[in-house]
Amino acid sequence: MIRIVFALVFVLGLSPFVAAAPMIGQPAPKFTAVDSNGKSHALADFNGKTVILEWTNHDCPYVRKQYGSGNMQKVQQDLTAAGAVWLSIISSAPGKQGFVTGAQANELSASRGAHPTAVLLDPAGTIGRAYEAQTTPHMFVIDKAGVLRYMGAIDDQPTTDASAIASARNYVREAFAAVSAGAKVVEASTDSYGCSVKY
Amino acid sequence: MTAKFMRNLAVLLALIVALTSARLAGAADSAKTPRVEATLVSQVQGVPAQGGTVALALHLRIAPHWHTYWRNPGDSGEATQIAWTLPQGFGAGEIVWPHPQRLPFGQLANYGYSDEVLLRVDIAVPAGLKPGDSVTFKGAMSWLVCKDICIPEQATLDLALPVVDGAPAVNETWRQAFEDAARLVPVKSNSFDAKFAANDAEVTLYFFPTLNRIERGVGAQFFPYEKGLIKSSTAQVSQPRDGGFAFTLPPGWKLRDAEKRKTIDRIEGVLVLAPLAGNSSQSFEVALHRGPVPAAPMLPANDLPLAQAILFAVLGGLILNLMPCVFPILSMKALALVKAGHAERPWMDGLAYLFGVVTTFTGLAVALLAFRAAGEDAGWGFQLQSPLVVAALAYVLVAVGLNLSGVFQVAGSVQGAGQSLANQPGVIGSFFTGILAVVVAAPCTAPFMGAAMSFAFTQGPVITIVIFIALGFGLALPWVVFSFSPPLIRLLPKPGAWMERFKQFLAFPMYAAAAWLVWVLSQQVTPEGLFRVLIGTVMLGLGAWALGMAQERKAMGHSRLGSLFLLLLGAGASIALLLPPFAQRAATTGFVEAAKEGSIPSEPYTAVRLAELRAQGRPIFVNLTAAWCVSCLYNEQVALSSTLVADVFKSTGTAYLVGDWTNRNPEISALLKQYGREGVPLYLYFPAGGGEPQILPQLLNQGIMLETLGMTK
Repeated sequence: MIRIVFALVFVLGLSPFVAAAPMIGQPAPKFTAVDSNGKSHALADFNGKTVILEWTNHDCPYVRKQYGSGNMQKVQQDLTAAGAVWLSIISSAPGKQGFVTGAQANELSASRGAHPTAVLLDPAGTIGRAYEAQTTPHMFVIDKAGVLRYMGAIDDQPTTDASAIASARNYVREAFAAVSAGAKVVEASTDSYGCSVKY
Repeated sequence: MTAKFMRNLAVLLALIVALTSARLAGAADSAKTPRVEATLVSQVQGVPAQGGTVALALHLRIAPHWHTYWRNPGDSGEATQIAWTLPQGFGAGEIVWPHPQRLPFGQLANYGYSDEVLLRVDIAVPAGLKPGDSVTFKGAMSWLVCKDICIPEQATLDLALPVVDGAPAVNETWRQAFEDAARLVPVKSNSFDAKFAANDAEVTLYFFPTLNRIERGVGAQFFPYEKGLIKSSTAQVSQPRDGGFAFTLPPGWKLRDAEKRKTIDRIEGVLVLAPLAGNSSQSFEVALHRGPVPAAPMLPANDLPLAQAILFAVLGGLILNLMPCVFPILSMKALALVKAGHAERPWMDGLAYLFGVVTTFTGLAVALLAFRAAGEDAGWGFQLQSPLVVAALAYVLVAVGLNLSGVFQVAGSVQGAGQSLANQPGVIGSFFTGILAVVVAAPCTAPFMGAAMSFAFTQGPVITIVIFIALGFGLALPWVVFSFSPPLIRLLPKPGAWMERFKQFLAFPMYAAAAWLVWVLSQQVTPEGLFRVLIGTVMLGLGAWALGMAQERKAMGHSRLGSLFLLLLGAGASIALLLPPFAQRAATTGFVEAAKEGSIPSEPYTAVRLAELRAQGRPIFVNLTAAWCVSCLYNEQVALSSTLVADVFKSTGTAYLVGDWTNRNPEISALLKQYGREGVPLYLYFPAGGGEPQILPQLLNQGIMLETLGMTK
């Protein structure tokens, strides 16, 4: 009987995820997660808005480059002001680098002047696996209809050197502008770079 | 006074010698962090005045467990970089990268180096330098070093070399390091005619050896120069294909993007072959062009006609009845028939049992298919690779045992899970016995099952389910026939008081089976997890005892509050103990270690090791096994433990490789698949001289072993 229960759980539970790997031009993997304030969000809640996903780990040197220079906060501010929903996602497992509680996440947002719409806590790595998030940062742009339009790096400077930001080509700004204008995203998938996600 | 002077002079002289020799050797400037010691070194002791090339290198000595990255770092990370500052007229080439190792990290994988790496850079030297001058090479080095966390590090290193007439002398200090690194640098050659094909679900990389090479690709690995082409974390297992070999891998994000895919018509990278006898690994720079790739060969099992596969499945199911796994259940069934035999319609129970068995097999087939669709490697017995399932099964068996011991009764309710049959020959009871029979049969593999199962999974979902139903039919058949045959039923003894005692006796095979499952679990989880399950079992016992008490008190009309509380406490605690995830034991310890203690010296199976041994031309016996596989343990006891067999292994120089599939292991899954199997056991004998292997039967005996190893004719 145990086996039947397991079989049913697997079949019912896994079937939505069988499609697996995220693909440009296809519906983005659905998810539900709790944010740093204990509020639940589903991707479907944001239908009609462009959603930006940012995988993050505040101790990763590549993330520190973005936040230390104020660049990530600036992008968050500009794009959310333009109507985007910005979800920062933390998939670090408990005990691993980057894992934080809701309160710590809020404190980080406050101390760094970050402007995400919400910080989603994903300690089990469920959303990370669904999106095959590999690095921090790793960025995804989902359009108003829930279709994945961009995945990859924040910019074209795969380094921890903050001086590279000034001359960087920011793929997320580009993708957001294209999606907002109803145009094609020129670089729809790029090589993400950074620390590995600490699943 | 004189003594002091002499001592000072000696120190001074030593210092001068040290300084000059260091200068001649190309005084290496180095930097050290707790993780990496970086040194800028030169292959030669001077710069040729007439011009030419000087090989410099950044040597990184990396602390244990840390690693730095290759030119393509894989899923994360960053390649080591050098920004040179060179005198006028000098020019630096690109880093000459030794081939990397694949470094799995959870569900991600990186390409990089551990322990040490020497990154060579050839520097072009202009003509017309003045002998006696000194040239300083300066480089800003930056590397990312990671363990579970990553640290970017930088150092600016410089190195001065004297300009010399003629060819400069070799720097003996670093000669070996340069030579070792050179062996790991991929060869640029046309050794392979390589092609690839990609769609959004898979990439096939096909390598056809040219120049009269014979290369099966066992243990080979491909590292692309570009990110995002293949999924780095998937283990690469080559399959022989049309004179060459191929990898079929999930695509990376670039090849999943339909637009990008169109623009990629060339994949460049490094193909690393498993080391041949006495040599280090060979690696080649290979460019794969988009083009037709030969189709995967059909597995031999595919040739099995459907009818024969069904027949094999029924036979396999029938034989399962004789396996030790199913025995306790059959005893319970016998007991049920004793009662039912004197009921009006015993065949109803037979059919209910059949229905229970077939339903469970169907459920199992559906679960397996779902797992495979999700990209998991799942075969017969896959559920026992999950510690949670093993622990849950141990609970079920203990609960059944406690019921048989009379601790509590089952009132024919759903929780009865099969054991109600001894008390009341209900149709529901028989149905659940059927389920239980399949549950406990899982660790046993019967002859004929392997062929039927491997056929099942190459034929699409409908046929898979048909084959599993046939297996179930075979398993249930003897008792169905029995229940339909009044003359046979009349042979059974008359019911009586002996039945109660026999029922109580049957609890012991159940406890034994549970003990065995806990042993399996001990190979899978840490001692802490094992303790949790043992305490959980005690709590289960408490719950069962409380349930029995509640039943008694109800029958007597007393209050049951206290016992119900205990029941909830026991049952709740036992379940709660299973809920937190189990920490897995390190994969290399455990069962294989235990097997090592046997009389035949063995080593763990890896594709690379197998390839090495085959290249050496040694005869090899491969045993793919699992702690939860009863047939495997039986074979190991019967055929592989005798001193006679051990002696034959020794005298024939046969290598013994053991692959432990108790926990998931993609390399072993791949080998099983290569020989058309869906589960363990699998025994392969590779004859001396490197021929095709012989697949041995799933049930071994000493005679088969001796004959295979070639000692008796």
